[in-house]
Amino acid sequence: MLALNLFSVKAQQQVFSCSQEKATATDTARYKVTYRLDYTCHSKADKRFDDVRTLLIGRHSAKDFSDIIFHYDSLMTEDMRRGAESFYNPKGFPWPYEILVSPKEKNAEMKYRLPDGMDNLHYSEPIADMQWVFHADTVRTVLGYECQLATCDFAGRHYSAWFAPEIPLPFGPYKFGGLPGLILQIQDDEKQFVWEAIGFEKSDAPIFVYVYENEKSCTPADAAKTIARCFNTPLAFKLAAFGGGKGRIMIVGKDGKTRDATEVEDIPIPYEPIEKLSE
Amino acid sequence: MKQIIIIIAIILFPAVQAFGRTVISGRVKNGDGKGMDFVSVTASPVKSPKTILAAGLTDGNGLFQLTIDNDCDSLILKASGMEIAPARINIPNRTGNYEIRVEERAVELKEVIVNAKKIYSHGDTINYNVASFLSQTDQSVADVLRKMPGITVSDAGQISYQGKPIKNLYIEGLDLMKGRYGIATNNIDPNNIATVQVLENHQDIKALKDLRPEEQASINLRLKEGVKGVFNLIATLGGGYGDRTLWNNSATATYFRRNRQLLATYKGNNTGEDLSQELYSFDNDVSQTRDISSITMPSAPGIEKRFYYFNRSRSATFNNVRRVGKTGEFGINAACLKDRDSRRCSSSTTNFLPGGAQNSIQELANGTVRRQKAYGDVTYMNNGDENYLKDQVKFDWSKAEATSRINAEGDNIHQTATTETYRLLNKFHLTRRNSAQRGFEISSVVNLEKRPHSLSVSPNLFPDIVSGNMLWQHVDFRNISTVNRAGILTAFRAGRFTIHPTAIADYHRNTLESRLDAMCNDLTLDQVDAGVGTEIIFSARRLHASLYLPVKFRLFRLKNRLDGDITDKNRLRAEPDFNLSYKIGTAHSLKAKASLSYMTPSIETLYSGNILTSYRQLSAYSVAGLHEGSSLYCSLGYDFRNILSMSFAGIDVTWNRESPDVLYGSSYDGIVQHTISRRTSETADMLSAAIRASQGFDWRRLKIGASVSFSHYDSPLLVQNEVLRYTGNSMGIEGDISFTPFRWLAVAYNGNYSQSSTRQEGCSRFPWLRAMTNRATLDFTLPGGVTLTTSLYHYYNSFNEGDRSFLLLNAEAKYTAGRFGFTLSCDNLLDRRTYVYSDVSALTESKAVYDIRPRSILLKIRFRIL
Repeated sequence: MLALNLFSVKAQQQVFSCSQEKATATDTARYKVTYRLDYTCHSKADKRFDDVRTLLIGRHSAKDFSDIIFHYDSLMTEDMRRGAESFYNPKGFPWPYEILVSPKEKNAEMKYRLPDGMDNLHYSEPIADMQWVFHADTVRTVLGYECQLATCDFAGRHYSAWFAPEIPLPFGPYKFGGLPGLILQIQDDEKQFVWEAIGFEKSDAPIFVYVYENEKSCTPADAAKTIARCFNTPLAFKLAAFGGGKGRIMIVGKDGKTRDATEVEDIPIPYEPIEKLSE
Repeated sequence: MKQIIIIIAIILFPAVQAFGRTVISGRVKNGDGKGMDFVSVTASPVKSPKTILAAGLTDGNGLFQLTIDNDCDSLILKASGMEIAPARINIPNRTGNYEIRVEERAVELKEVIVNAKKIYSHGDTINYNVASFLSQTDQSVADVLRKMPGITVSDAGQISYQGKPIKNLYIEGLDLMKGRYGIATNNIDPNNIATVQVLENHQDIKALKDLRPEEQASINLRLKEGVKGVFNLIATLGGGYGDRTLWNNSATATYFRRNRQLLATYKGNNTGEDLSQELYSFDNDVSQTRDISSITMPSAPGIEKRFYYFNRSRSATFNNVRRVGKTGEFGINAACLKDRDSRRCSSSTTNFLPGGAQNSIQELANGTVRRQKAYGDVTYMNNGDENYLKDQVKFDWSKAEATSRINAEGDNIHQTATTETYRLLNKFHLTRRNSAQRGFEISSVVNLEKRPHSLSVSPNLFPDIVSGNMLWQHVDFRNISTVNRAGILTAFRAGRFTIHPTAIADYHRNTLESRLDAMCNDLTLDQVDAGVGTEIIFSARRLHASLYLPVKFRLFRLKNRLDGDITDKNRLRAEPDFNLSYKIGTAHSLKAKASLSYMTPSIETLYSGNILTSYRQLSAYSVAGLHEGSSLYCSLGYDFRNILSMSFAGIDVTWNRESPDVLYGSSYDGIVQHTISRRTSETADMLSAAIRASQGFDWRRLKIGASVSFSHYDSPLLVQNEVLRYTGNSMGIEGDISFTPFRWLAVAYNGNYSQSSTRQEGCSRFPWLRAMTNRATLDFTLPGGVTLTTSLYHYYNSFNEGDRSFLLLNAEAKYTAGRFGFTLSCDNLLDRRTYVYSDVSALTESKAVYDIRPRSILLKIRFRIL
């Protein structure tokens, strides 16, 4: 019998830590950028979430991942190495995307961690050229660097990015890049996703690609469908993932009472994907 | 490719023109004409250079193409990248092909380091963000380490993590100091350290990883980026006055890179700063010889040494390490010290004798010791994944010349003593393994040591035994020893069990020569240990257990070279050692240990000719024969740590039983004392328990640490030819707090309380001895960048007569202007001149009054030369 906390289903989906035991170094980071990501699952939702994102920029690739998830993954990996069986719930609700961008190949390897220890979706997709429009007279200072504004439409959203020409690195968080300077701040018009750099430093850390134990390869379309289903019918999705019709799953409600999952109404979590349209 | 682009551009030209667009293509080249990859190219109007009209990146051949939709006359084409100096050219706003020449040069960027979490873990490494613990008045790495939960630094400078001493201290992954890490922790500016990393269970031999777990943690200091590869030379000049002119000067040179490091220091002072402390080695290479006789000097009182240390000290150290190849390291460590220590105290010592009688001695002692010390270590290490080789040659020399005058019971006694020590030690360790975890391991230690020392005493307090008014004695203690192990890694595996056999071959030769008037000793004690050992390891996910069972044939041979007498003894001895560790989840762990060992006869208790061990003690051992005793040790420990909540805690319980064959003690006759010995079947037991906890908080940089310890002992004691039993209980409580309530105020407190009492069998218990030490420091940051530090020391001793509490107060002001730092300090502001200290142990009570350093003022100027 499995007991789920209904509150966690209602607010945002909580992920579990995964072992980083299977790791391959693909590049060496030369710079590390730390962003604060302020996001919601839906542009109309009141509840906002925070994540600390790390962007490691190497010679051939750049990797964007949640520092919070990474921290708990490393704890779990070490515990397992010492023989302890452990799982952690990373604190807060970090954004469960892990993105490895290879700008020369114009390709992104995407990983999305489904909640409650379910699968890690893994898919690969090309990165379309972003058609940036420059607004030279709009400037702001981020991290002590003067940044210029550039805007673009990407996957159904209109983004405003502030990039630093002093840092001639054509990268940014998520798949954003191609500007003549590092993107230090970027947000969509609805402010569903707001990234702001809070640190920039040199690095010599290896950029690892992890193969997680429960990783599932799929197409970008399948991944989008699965993630959407996970928000639209969260309970049914979990029942299918855990029980598959066998055994009983109990839900702990806000009132503290435990009910059989089949007696609880499956309330969707408002969700708008970051990429509303496929590019 | 270039041609194709030009042709395409020409073909498209009319169409582009028709839409009012220009297509700018071209190539970014370096000085050699090679195309530069991944360079940003932007086009801006000449009249508005900040307006970017188009931007793009060069491909692998350095080619780019931009489409401009603007009717300006001319453009700025700008190329920028992380490995080139920005370059720009002005071009007409016409479709065409252009070339930009760039100079290859790394771009220097301002770094903005994120406010890191105070403590975070990554794998088996716990990272402490130094900036989160550092305060303005911290002068050394040790000061910051004391504020980190889970880490303690003893007064002697030894660093412990979770109550256990660390194994190695690395700087950027290199073992620069080789055990003498006090030099690094005292002299490296904590502002240069970014992160302190605790490497839990760090197996420093890569070839033994996953084969042999390591109980001790190691610490790695990660430096800030700007510090690496920069040569620093910082000097301090100081002068002041107390009851004499004071000086305190130093110079420190540092150079740290990942593949080469240097730390050299010079220090000199007469302000009570103990320089010998930081030269102490924590690598357990204990000397194999000891002083048989020594001059009686005032003992150390229980207060900080800087208060009673009337010194003149100078030291210089040189520490260098460099990587050799990919996995090798070559290091040199050398140091010398010259020191003069003068002390004066009056004391009363009472020995409690059988039947309730007492023997009391009043002494007024005044002495000076001049010490010289030098060492040099050369180390080569190759630490590969499958091969490990380390060879270390260590040379130590020291010389101590002491003079002392003692007024004891009406006698004016004059003593002089000289002790020299020469030591050469070679440590060799080789490990080879393959990927199947099979291989072998060889280790060998060779020690050569010589300790000649002399003592002269006038007048002679033993006229019935030794003739003459003045006694002069010479003793030479020598040791040649070698300890060798050869083992097979994983010789046998069955399920979760593995077996590692080892061969043992040890040889020790100790020689003792002495001459006191006509009384001589000339002894040689040889000890051979040969045998085999088997280590059986059980390793599961949470449980790790090992049993090491060495079985040795042990041979002793004592030769008295004066009369040619030879005494032999041989035995087959098994000395089992059992260890168990069990992980209960991620935060909790249990550890247990049990061992049985046999004491070996020591040449220091085998001589029969009298030796003057101190001015009033004559020793000779009457119990003949080579006696062994046994020692049984058991311990149980529990550790807890939660990195996220910054909580560390633990409990340790140990029990130790010693069963000596011979009991050694003293017989008192007024001022003089004789060493006596007797066969025994008595045992000595000691039970101790300690609970420790340490908690860090994000709020106001608060850290609280506390420990409570208790011990009970029950031991035999030989006094006046009678065997007495005495029992004792002692309890200690320690606490430390560091706290920054405001930006302008930092508070640190460290205190300990102890109480102990002993009881002689058949007699009433001695009163409890209660002692307390409180140290509090307040750091104020005043406007204008001046920091003011006041330190209050409070000592309490319930056995003191009269005033049982004692207060000392120090104050210090610091100001930094550019590259100069000024420190004005005033020690002992209350100008206390004497300190009373009382103690009771092993049925001996002592009370002493010490001279302490008077009020003094000192100005120090610290400046960077390079």
